[in-house]
Amino acid sequence: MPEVKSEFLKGTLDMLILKIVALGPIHGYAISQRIQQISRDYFQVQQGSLYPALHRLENRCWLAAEWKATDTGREAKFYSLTKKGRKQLEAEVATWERISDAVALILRTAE
Amino acid sequence: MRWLFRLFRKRKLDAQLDSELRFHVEQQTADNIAAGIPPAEARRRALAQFGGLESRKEEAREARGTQFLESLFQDMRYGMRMLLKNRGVTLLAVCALALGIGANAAIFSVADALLLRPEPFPNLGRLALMYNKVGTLTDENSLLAPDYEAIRTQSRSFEQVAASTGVDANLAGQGEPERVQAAKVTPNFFNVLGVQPAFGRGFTAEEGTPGHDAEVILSYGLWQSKFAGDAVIIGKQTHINGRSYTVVGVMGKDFEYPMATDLWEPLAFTAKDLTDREDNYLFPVGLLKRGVSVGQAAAELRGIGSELAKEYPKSNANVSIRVVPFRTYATDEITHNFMLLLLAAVAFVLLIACANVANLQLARVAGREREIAVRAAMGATRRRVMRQLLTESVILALAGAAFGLLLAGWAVNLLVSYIPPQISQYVAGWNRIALDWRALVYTVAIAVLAGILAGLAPAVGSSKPDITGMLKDGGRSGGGRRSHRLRSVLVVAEVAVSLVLLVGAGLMVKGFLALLDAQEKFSPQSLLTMNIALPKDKYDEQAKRAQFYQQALTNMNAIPGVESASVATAVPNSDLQSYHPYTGEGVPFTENAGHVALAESISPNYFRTLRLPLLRGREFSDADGPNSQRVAIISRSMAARYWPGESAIGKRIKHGEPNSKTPWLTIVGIVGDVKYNAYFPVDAAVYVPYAQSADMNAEFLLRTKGDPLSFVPSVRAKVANGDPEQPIYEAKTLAQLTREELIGISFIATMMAALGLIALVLASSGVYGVMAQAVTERTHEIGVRLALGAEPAQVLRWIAGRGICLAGIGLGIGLAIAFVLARLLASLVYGVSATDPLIFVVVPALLAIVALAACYIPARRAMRVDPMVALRYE
Repeated sequence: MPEVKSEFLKGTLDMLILKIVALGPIHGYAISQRIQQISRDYFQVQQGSLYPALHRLENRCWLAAEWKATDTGREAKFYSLTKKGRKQLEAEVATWERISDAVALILRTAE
Repeated sequence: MRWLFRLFRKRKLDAQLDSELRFHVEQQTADNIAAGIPPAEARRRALAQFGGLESRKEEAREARGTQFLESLFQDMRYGMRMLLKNRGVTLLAVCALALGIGANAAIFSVADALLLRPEPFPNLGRLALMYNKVGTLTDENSLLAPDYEAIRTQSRSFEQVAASTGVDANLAGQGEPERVQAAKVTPNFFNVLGVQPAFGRGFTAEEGTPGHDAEVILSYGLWQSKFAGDAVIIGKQTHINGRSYTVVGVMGKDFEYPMATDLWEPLAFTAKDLTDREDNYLFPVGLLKRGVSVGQAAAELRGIGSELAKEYPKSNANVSIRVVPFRTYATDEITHNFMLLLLAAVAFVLLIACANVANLQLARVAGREREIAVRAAMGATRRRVMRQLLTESVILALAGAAFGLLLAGWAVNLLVSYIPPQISQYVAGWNRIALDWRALVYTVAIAVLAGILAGLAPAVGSSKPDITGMLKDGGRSGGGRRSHRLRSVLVVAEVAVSLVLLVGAGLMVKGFLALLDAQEKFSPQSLLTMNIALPKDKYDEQAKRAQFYQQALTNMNAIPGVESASVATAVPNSDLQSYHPYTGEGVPFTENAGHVALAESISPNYFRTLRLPLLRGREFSDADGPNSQRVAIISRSMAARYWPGESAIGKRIKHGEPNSKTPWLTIVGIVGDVKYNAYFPVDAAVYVPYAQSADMNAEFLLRTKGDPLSFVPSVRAKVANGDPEQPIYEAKTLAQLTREELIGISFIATMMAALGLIALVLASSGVYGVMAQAVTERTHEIGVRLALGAEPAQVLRWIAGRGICLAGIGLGIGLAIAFVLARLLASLVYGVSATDPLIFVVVPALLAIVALAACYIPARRAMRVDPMVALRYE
């Protein structure tokens, strides 16, 4: 599995986290597992990037956190998307799509 | 906001973070076990995958955003622990800083009160004063009433214009009749200043009209002293100058404009007043419109002034109207310069204190190199280490500031009592000197600055440690090359700066003593002086005035015990001096201070009374009367200036500029120079006999046997004989007058001397500290030398030699700078010479001796070192 460069990942990592959390309240470990699963193992998020990113997103009020009991009885911190976060996600997705369209265009014409 | 919460709930948040990350690892472990990996291995893999738990936590914490403040608190706690561990050094540093910062706080409160807010008017920024400038005279003259009216009606720059004039008043009906200082002001006066009486009210417009102006507003001081702080004073009657006035208001405690005024009356112009072009007596003050600058107003008023000059050439020909910001009233250039001098001096003292502390810190940090290396090895960034060291210094500085404020409080009390109230009432803002919140803010600010400055050297010097070298066992402590060089530079700087300060202080003290001394040749303790002001209406003619003086002097000379009684316009160090231009016949006239001289109208025995010898020609006699040739006697420097190399006897001069119509005076005598004024360096004087030209304001000078003050009642009686309504004021000995006049300079000189002393103490302790440190560091080396057979005396010379060398360099640099700055000082203060050999030799010698002692004493310890002990010392 290639180790994706963290700089590239940082910007998009936020977006990916927001997307995953949008599907429902979820804790940190599950987020990292989910990213790995959904991307078909392409992105193996360095744990070092994940928690700082989660706390950063929480700082900016895009994620809200709550301590709930898991099925094993242990307490864990569950994140959910706030309204601001939802708006941010939409904005970032739109930007991403525009970027990827533009890149695709350039690549095609450069051939 | 949430950010703030996060700061305070640090522990809880940390626990949560810990729990969250642990949960992650546990889940990963569980998954690994589920995938078939044995438990121990599962956990190890999970941890490895996660990366170091602590560093993950650190990263997450950083994302929280409160990192900076938390680490700052951590630095502070650590710094305090370090400081307390080494109490001796910390105490020294705190003392040095307390002295430096405290001195600054004290001087700041003086400068603040005198320079920044001399008068507590809300409109201060927009207030402007107007005065007349006549020809090339430097005096600020009052305006004619019609001119004031013209300004008031024509000027567009001001929202409102008011005016005041000072008069003396006899206050009767409250116990003893008393002479008080009164001011007649236009009704809008208080509105323009933006000040309201503390009780009662200001004047109404109606009260500014003749016949309705029998109201008075008292000053707070007068209300307390003369009216016993009567709570129902408003509406009561009082008698001023024989007329009955109603008290309508009392001003607040701080209000004193014009200075030292006891009561205010309304100024009521009659129609005749407004066309009177003979008497000028008004000092207008204007409230500028918003957005109009003083410069613009000045230009406008210059225009109005020239129009008036054209229209009324007889009264206004040479007159121009000037506008200045109100501030300049309260603080003249001299006070301003003196204050700047003190501020500069005290800043130097602080720099010396900082250098001291920097050296102490360098020494202290040198002992901690190992600890810093360990921290660097554990991942502390250079910035972090620097920040920690700086934080320590700032804590030191703030502690020093706390003690410094205590010192400053005590010092300010001492300062304020230096100038007695009867003089300080004329120094604007003096009674407002206090250690208030502004001084507090200033103190904290310079403390932080000083801390950073002092901490910069050790912080920069040691934040790049030689990690491997230090961590090795036996790594040598004691500071690298850089640290040593830095310490040497600081010591040299300290010595240089303190030399400059001491030389400055020495020059000022000497200058002040010289000024005092200049009067000694007149034996001022046996001279009595007093002022007299002849009222205009009674003594409008020269003959009447001359007759009054003659009568008074004859009477006074008859008093037993009076050796001689004379009169002059102004005695040395009096306030009544006025300087005028004089034109010499056949001498080209230049419009600068070079052709200005003190104008004196005297009795023939004035020089004899003063004991000022005649150098050439003759003195005045009774033969010089109103019908004989107009004569003058001039001072030596004036003769030298106008007719260098030849005798001035027989030459002629006249009062005023070349085109003035005053009569030519023939010079019949030349006398020595007298230092009439400590602040105005012109020794030239022109004397005329009062029989030919007498002044309205004059001063009597009497030489008495015994205490001059005991003669005051009889003198008063004699004057009353001649004119029962003519009081005399301000009777004091010439010695007293001189002392009072020079009190400003003496204050500054004393301050400078005190600062110089503090600088000396700081610098010498700085040198001592560095030398002691050097001895400690070199103990090993000393042991080696002694063991190898060196004589103790040789070792002493070697150790002390370096310190002496540094001190010598410092003295040299300091001397050079002192030469340059002395020139500046001499231009600031009259009487201070820029090249006084005594000071320039004695002061460096003194400092050299002190520095020598500071090097010698610790070096002697080096001699006593037991070589065996030293060799084992690391």
